[in-house]
Amino acid sequence: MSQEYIVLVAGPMGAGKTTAIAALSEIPVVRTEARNTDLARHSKALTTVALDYGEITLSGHDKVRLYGVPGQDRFDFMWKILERRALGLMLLLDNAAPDPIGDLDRYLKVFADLDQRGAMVIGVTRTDVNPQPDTETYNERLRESGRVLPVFALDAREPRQVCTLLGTLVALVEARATTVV
Amino acid sequence: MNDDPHLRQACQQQIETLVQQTLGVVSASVVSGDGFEVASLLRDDISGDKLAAMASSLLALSEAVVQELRMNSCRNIIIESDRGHVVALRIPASEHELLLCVLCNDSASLGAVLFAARSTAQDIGLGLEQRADA
Amino acid sequence: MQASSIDYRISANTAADAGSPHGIAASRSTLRLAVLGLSPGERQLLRAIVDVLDSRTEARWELVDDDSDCDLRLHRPGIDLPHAPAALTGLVLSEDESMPAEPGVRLIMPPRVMAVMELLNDAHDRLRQPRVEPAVDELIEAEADDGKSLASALARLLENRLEHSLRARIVGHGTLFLCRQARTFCTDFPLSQLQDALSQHRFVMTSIPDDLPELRSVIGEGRPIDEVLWTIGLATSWERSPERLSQARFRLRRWPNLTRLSHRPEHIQLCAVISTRAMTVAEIASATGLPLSDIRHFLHACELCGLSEECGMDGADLLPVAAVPATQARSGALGGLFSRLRQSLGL
Repeated sequence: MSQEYIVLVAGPMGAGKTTAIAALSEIPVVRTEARNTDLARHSKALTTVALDYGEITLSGHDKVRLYGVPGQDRFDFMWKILERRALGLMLLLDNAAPDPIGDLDRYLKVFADLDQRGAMVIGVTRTDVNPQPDTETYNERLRESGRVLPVFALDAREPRQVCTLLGTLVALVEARATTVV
Repeated sequence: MNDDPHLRQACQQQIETLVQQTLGVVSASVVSGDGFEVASLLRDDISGDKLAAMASSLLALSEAVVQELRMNSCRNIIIESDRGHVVALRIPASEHELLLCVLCNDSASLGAVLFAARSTAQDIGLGLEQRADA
Repeated sequence: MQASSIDYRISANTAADAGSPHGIAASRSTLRLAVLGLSPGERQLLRAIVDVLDSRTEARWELVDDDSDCDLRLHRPGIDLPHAPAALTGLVLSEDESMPAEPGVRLIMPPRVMAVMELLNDAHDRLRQPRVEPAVDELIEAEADDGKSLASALARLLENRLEHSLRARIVGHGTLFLCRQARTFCTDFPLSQLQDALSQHRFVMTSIPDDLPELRSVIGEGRPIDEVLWTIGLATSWERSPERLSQARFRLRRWPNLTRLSHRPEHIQLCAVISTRAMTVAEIASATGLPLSDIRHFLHACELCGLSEECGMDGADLLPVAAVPATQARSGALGGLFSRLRQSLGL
């Protein structure tokens, strides 16, 4: 029987979730986008309203399914639906947003379950546009609350980098699984 | 578009007519494609914002499914529940991405509700086009 | 560590330099080179090259008879060797012969002038340090790092707190600055050459004040110092005795920024394993199935970058774990998802 592993990709709008999934997915990403009417908050023309779907086939017909959820709060019911079934979360944060550290706090609270499982990795995008806060600042913030999570600077367009992030999530989850007595 | 008061008013009127004239229709809402409420008439216990977001997700997902299955286009979605139905469909209008969402109870005839919903959607769409031409 | 029983010969007038392993000797010693297994034509060519290089190499080399005592003996594999002692040996190989796996002194035939010069200078460097017979299980580490590279020198300095900024001028590459205050580094040569530069033996390193004008003008372009510390840590050996290592448990306190650091997939696994709980080297080996040398290099890199913390064996810690057999650990609770994902993604 083939296994499937579900990985959530979440984060605020404009962080690069759809791009990151496209960089990994073997199939063209299935998108659910609509015209963005909230141009005051974001200048993007389109926004994801349900989810993005991509997949990676492993040996033996097993699959890793990538679900990118919309960033806005009003779609949090989508997050809940998928969180339950997810192996882990790739959280993408936009370093050029007004308050990326605040975003980090919010998402840690929203995905408390995955957070507790320690099944989370963080990719910070657009550090070329805005180098501050630097990864050390994110790490400090995590340390304050006793967490040690991977924080990588990420160019969501680069498959190698997104691969590294996903591989890290999986390694983390595996490490946790094998240390439970 | 969301802050166009004339649009809101026009949609509001259409919705009120729909609810008043169709047996069993309890609530209705016009929402933007990206999940914001434009106009609504809702039962007390329903959050308009939540409904708006969910309706947009549902329609987008359904359209993705229909496309993947190569069944052309999605006309509407119907959710059947213990207490009635939820119907959602796109409002035909060239410029605006708008959706109509209708909730009805057991006493409704699904066929009648679908017919009324499509008519309302068409009327709203026509109204938008006329205003655009004017 | 046993001292070598083979003595090495350097003429008396360079004894003053014996204590400083780097920099050009003020006066030159004469070293003897024996090369066995060459055809007369090859021998003539090599002799001509050695003569040409007479004033260009750090030490003077003379070609001696096959059965003389010598400082460097190069020979074709498989031939009988004379009884006369040689301080250092190496192989003579043809271009199309496959290279043996372990590093060492190698002369490729037909010889090229620059290659012979590099070889002779390298042999000279090796001869200036006493040879050590490493214990077998450390052999891999020792061969990867002969303790005389720029990386080694930096590692030794960095293992204690960095008191000053540093400038290293590296032969054949350029200048490397390490800025202590800003925790950045920069180079005036392409970063793609950094790894090679760090493995160089010929360089001059100077402590410089943090407010040196030359340093200030390059601070702006500096990259995070972690990027070079990580590379140094992975490339150099860790000064930790096995007894001390068996007493310590290590835990990750911060993840390295792996998209910015060159790494192998094993490093991801290692980080993951010690991010969940503090483990000894043996426990890490058991959990990952990776060789001890890999684990030690990794922990060294983590230590240099300040990513790990060390706890004693009695620390109150997370749940103790029955040692997971290596084979089971590798297949893992998730069916070895990490390795399969690597395969699919070509990681």
